[in-house]
Amino acid sequence: MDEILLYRRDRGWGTRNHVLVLPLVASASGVARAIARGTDAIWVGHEYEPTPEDLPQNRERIARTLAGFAANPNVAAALLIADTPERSALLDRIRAAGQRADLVVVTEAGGFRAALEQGRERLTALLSGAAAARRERAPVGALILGTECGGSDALSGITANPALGAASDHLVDAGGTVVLAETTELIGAEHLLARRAASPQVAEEIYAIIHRYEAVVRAHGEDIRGANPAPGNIEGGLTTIEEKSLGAAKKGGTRTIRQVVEYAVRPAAPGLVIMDTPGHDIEQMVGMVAGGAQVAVFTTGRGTPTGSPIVPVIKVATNSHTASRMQDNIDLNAGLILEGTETIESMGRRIYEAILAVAQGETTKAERLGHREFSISRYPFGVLDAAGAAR
Amino acid sequence: MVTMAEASQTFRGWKRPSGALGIRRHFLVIPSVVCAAQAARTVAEGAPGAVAIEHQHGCAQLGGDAHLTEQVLTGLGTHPNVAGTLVVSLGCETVQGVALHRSIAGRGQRAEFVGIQQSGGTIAAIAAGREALERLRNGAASDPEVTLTWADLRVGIEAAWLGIPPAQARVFSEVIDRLLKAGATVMQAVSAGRDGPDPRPTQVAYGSAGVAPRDATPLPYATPPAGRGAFFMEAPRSRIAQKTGLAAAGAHVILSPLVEGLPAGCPVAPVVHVGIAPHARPFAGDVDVMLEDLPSAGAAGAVVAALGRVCLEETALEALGDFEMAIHRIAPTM
Repeated sequence: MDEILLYRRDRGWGTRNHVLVLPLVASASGVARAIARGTDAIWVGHEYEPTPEDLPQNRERIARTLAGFAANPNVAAALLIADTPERSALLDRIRAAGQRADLVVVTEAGGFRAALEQGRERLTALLSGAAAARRERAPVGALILGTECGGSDALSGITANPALGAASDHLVDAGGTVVLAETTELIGAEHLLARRAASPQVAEEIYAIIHRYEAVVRAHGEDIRGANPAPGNIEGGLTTIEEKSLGAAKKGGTRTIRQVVEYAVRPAAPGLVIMDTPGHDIEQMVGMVAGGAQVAVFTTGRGTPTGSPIVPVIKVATNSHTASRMQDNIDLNAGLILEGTETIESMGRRIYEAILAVAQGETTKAERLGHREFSISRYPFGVLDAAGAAR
Repeated sequence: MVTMAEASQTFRGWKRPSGALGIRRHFLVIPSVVCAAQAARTVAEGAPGAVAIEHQHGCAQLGGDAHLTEQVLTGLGTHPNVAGTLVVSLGCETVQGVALHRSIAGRGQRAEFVGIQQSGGTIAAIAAGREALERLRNGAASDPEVTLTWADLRVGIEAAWLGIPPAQARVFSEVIDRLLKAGATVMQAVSAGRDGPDPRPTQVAYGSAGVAPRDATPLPYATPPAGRGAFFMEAPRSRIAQKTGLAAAGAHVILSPLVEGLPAGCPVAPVVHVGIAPHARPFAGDVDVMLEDLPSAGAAGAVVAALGRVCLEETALEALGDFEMAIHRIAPTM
């Protein structure tokens, strides 16, 4: 199948037709929630309150995240909620990206009640505009797939991740884009990835993002063990971060690594790309979605239920025990590879087919359960400068 | 003009099995990790008195930072306004739900535990969580009702007033004096002047008005004070993280000066919002007390009266279930 049915947007193709209500600061979350309540719109909340001490690099990272998220092709239109008028620059940025968007400034509106009224009015207009959208024939190559693993166990690198890698190869071969991320979980696999880099510069960037994370951990005088692998990973049979990484890196498949992008940056060209994100499941997902991913596959050994507010997330279990025990949450069971009824290649094909079906509207279990995790990610730029680490 | 005499001096409260005295009967549902937040929220939906907190942490955190998150969640779970706490855990997270439940129950709090991976998925965990909440409610029905005075209460105050013009700042100094004279414990957040992950030690920055009173005892972030009196708590710049830290230290009620941002509630403690002109003027209808450039002589009395009022009555934000959460982080997410 070379064509699938997606929503046409000015900035790519969407797999969903959401209208998003997005607070730009944490204290606008309540207004956002009240405006979206009882409507078909999706709202998210977060903890970010800007302060004068925020480093400019983090300000830009957070603005890029919010703008990229609101402009994701799965979003037909976005309503931004701000506390004060200074934040309207983000509206311009989102509109410049080709997104239909509007803004409510609570202080300008005159408080909660007035903002709610104004927001409802603007949201109604955005919702009725979105309702007119219809799916159209689109090339499979329009898809940007986010790959993720969470709650990994000893089977992650043997069943689900290599199977997802096979699916990633199918998508790349069809002209699509695959995002491999979670830099902390590539530590120890960097030499293998660098070998597949499209150019010496890309290889160098792969080493750089990994060394950067290690420098941060060292600057804190901490050991990454304890944070990663997490207690559940260890209980699941993973012993070291290197072992976890060798399995995690398989999600991206075997094709050439075209590019390394910063957090929440949209890949410039199709193919396999690496995005520099934390291993934290939510921060990683938000980064990939803000970078344009319209569909995601999430492999899990222990059973992680999280999803995304605007992107369908397909859950693949690494073992049959988790697949049956957590059947509320798991879409596909790669544990069948271990039982001999599937191979990595056949399971990869199934995952690829599920990606295409879900892209065209089939709902995932995380969507049906209403998962809408969202988080703002900061990077310790100050620590890096202080440590004089590789940059 | 409202004077101290008109402000309420006694409050309806409940005595918990731990001996703690609270002014609310919340049943708190705490996800030990962001992955359990959706299940926690669904468990609390429609359950009388239940409040689910939402946060974005609990995994991919380094040692000391993970401990701080656990400390904040333990503080909220053992808050005197909370009659019972349900910990919802995923199972594989860094801040282990089992340990969090143990530390909350170990402090004498009525507590229950549900694990999503242990229960066999979200739907099964939600069903188990609802039963656990029911048990907490039944248990809490026997908590005796008591009459409290200011001497039984801790008032948390956010740091933002430290930088405002003297005429307005004086109102806060007077509020603190009055509360201390009435016997209340006052915890004053003092911003260390930076946010976000940064391991470098910082100096506590004092505003123009200074910390009042100057002999207040220092207190680390999210740490309950050992006794009564005046304390200042080391806090990050984010006022929402300040609020969470004050609540985790057991503040029964929180005073929030609005120099920036919008009103924001707290999951376990009622919040009195004092709007500071000119910032809060456009949304003056959303604040409890408005401080103009030259506040009236009765302003401090009005703030104390508002604090007394919210101890007795549900606030508008509480009725809406509207609150924000932010946990101070001392290391980056991994």
